[in-house]
Amino acid sequence: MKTPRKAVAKGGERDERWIQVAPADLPTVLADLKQQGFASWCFLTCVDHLNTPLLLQPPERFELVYQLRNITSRELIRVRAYIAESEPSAPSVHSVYAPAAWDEREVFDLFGITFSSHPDLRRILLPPDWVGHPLRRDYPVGGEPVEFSDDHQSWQTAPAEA
Amino acid sequence: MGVEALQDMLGDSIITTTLGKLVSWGRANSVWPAQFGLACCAMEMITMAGPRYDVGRFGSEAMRASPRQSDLMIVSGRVSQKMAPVLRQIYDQMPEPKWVISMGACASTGGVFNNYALVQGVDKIVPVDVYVPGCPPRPEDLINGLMILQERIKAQGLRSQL
Repeated sequence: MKTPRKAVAKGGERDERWIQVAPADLPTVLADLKQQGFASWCFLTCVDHLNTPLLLQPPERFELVYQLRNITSRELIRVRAYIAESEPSAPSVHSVYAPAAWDEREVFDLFGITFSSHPDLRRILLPPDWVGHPLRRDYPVGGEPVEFSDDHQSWQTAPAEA
Repeated sequence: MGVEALQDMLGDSIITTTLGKLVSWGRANSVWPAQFGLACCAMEMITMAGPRYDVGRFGSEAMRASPRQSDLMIVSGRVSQKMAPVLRQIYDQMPEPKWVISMGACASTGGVFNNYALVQGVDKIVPVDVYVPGCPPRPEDLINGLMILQERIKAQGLRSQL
């Protein structure tokens, strides 16, 4: 694999490598990788690094993770991009990989990250009138308080109003 | 004509009963469940209808794909907040008299999923007649729940509610 020029960091080993790019460069980098043969879209997901006890503190709160596979060489490549909490937005890559449109809707639904130029950015899993984004770490767990449990005093059942 | 003369004439070809007993006997032995599964409990429900456990012995083998033809709703698994209105609509479409079996820990209480996404007990949205515990319940457990329901239906008589 030829590392795209816009990668700001890279790592991993053998056929499981990762590169980190700026969010604005995502469409060009992914188009470059697709040119190189990483034509199979595995998934897009997001990580919320709020209060992550990592030795290496992540630069921003949200991290987008794009996983691609080269079918012929069987290589995997992971593209990472850090998104600031103040402006949780990234460019959509649905014009490069068509299935990205639904994965981006899922990330929007559960993490509240918007994708510019997305054709139809609606909630995909939760009901349309849902308030908040449940996979953010500051979203209350919900459910019902369990009596006589250790945390039943501090249990939060209602999501914060958006 | 005296009673003895009637008995001589009819012999053993007639029995006397009440209409309520006759109707509820028929209802209890032809409880047709609505055909839908919600989660892993549905596997046990399918097994119950299969040849090994053969719920046809109790008259409930006819899983109906339309709620209009069903008497029984087996809530086989967890109910998500998004699924809840769908489940309630299926229940509303079933003709009276109708019964509900809550199958497994998730349908009865939310189970281990005490969080924002799941209804904490299906009895919040539909009236439940029999709760079958287990995670998942074995087919025997579900058959046992069905037999309990049959006893209750027989006791119900011509009343529309249990």
